[in-house]
Amino acid sequence: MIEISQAIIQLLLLFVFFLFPITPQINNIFLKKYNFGIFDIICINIILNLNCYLIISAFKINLNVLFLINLILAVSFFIFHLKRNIIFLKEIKFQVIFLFFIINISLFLNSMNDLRLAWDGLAHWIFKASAYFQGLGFVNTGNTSYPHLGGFIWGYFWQNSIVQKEYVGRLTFIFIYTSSLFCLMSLFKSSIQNIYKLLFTTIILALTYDKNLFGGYQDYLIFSLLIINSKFLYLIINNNGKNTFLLIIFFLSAYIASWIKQEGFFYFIITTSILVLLEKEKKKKLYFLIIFFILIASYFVLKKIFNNQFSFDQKINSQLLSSVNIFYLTEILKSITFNFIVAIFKYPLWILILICIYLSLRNKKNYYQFRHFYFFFLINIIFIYLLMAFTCLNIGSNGCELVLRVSLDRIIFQTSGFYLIFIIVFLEKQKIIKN
Amino acid sequence: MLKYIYNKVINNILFVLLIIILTHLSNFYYNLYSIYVRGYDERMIRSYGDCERESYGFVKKSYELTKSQNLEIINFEDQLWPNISGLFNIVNKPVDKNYIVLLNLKNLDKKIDKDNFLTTKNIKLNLKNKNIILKDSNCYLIKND
Repeated sequence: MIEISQAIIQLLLLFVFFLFPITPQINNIFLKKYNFGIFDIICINIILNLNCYLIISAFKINLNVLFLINLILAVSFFIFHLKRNIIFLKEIKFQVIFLFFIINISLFLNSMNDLRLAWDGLAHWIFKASAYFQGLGFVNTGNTSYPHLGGFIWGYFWQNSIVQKEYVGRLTFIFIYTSSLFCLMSLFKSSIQNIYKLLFTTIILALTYDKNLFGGYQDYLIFSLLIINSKFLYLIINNNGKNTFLLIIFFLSAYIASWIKQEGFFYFIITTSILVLLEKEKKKKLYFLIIFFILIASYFVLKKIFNNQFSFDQKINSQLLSSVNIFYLTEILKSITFNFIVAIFKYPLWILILICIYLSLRNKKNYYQFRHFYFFFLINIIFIYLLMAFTCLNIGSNGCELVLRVSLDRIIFQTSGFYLIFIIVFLEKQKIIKN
Repeated sequence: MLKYIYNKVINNILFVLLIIILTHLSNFYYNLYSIYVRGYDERMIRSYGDCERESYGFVKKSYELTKSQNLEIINFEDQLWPNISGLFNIVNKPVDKNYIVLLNLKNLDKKIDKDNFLTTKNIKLNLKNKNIILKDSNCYLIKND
C-alpha cells in the first residue's frame, strides 16, 4: 500500500515542483499575452528547473536539504497568491486534469510493477543516478561521453522518496513526458470540443508510449524536450510581437537537451540553426548567433569541468576506415534504410508524420508556415544516416547490424516529438480535426 | 437546450469510455493489484529472475551474506543479460576481492579442470566445496582463495 501511496504523492509533488518558479499568478501578471495554459506553465517550469538542476549537479550537495529548499520555495510561491492560483486551477476543465492524473498514475504503476531496467539503463545510466543517490555528487562512472543530467533527476527523486527505490526517480521521466504531450492541447483552436482534444492526446500517447524506454533510457526526456522546443520555435516564428520570453525558453530547452544525451547536442545545433536561418532581421540574426555561440562555448567549458575532457563515444577507427570500399558503403546504406523502415513501423507515429509531410508538400499553400519542420526533417534524416554510417564504418559490419537494430529505432523515436505540433496544425488546417 | 444536454451526455459517455479503455490497455487494474500483493523484492525477482537472467534474487542474497559493498559479478550469459551490479554496489568503491559471484554457470563439470579450478576472464577460481559459500542451481557465491 505504501508504494501505491508513493505513486500518488510523487505525482502531486511533481505537480507542485513544476508549478515553480512560474506560478499561475506570475503567468497571469507577466505572461498573459502569450495565453499559456496550465501545461504550458508546467513545461516552462520543467525547462527552468532542469537548467537549475544542471548547475546544481556540478556540486556535491546534500540532496535532502536541496529537496526541502525546493519544496519550501515551490509551496511558498504558490501560497503567495493562493486565492488567484486556486482560481486559475479551478478554471481548468475537470476532464483534462482527471485524464492527466489517470494517465500518469497508470504509467507510474506500469513502471512500478515491471521494474526491469533496459540494457543501457542497467549497464550505464543507473550508475550516474546511483552516484547522486548516494550523495557523491558528480562522479566519473566510466562513461564520460554520456551526459549526466538525466541521472541527476533520477537520483534526486530517488533519494527524496518515501520508499527509497530507484523506480521513483524514473517516474519523473513519465511526468515530463505526459506534461509535454498535454501542453500540445493549447495549440488546438478553442472552438474544438475538449473531448476531441483529449482523444487526440490519448491517441498520440498510445502511438508513442513504449514501456521499455522508461527502463532507464533517456530518450523520453529528449522526446519531451523536442516537443517543448518545437512548440516555442513555432510560437516564435508565427508570433509577430515581442518574443523575448519565448526565445529564452526556446534556447534553454534546446540547450538542456545536450545534457541529457549526446544526440541532444546535435538537436540543439539543428534547432537553433533553424531559428538563425529563418530570421529575416539582420540584427536579430546576429543576436541569435551570439547566444548560440555563447551556449556552445558554455557546453564545452562545462564538459571540460565535469569530465576534464570533451568526447563523444565514437572514436575514429583509422584502420577500418582505410579499408572501406564502395561495396561496403552501399551495404551500410541498405542496412540503415532497412532498419529505418523497421523503426517507422515500430513507432507508427512516424507513418503519420510522413503522410502529413507528403500531403503538406503536395499542397503548397502552407509551405511557408511549416518550412522549419521541413528543414528539421531534412537535417534529421541526413543526421541519422551520417551518424549510423559513421558508427558502422568505425565498428565494422558485425557490430553495425547490432547497433542499427538496438539504437536506430530509439534515435528515430526521439525526434518524432518535434513533429507533433506540425501534425496538429496541419490536421487543423485540413479541417480533419474540427468541432 | 436539448442539443446542449445531448452534447453534454455524449461528451461524458465518451470521456468515461476513454478512461475505461485507457486504464484497461495500460493494465492499470492488474498493476494496482500486483503492486498491492507483491513486495518490491518479489517484483524484482519476477523482473530479473532469482537464479536466471540477471539473477537479482541470488545477488541480493550474496550481498546480505557477505555484507560487501561491491561484489564482483560474472554473468556467463553476459551477451544476453547486462550486469546487475548497478542495482547494488556503492559507486566508486573498490571491488571486494574476497568474494566472487558466478551467475548462469551451466555445465560446470566441463568447465573446471581436474583440480577443480575454473578459469574465466583472466581469473582463476578454486571451486572446491569449502570455497562455495552459497549455491543455487547455476549460481555460485565463491570465497576467493
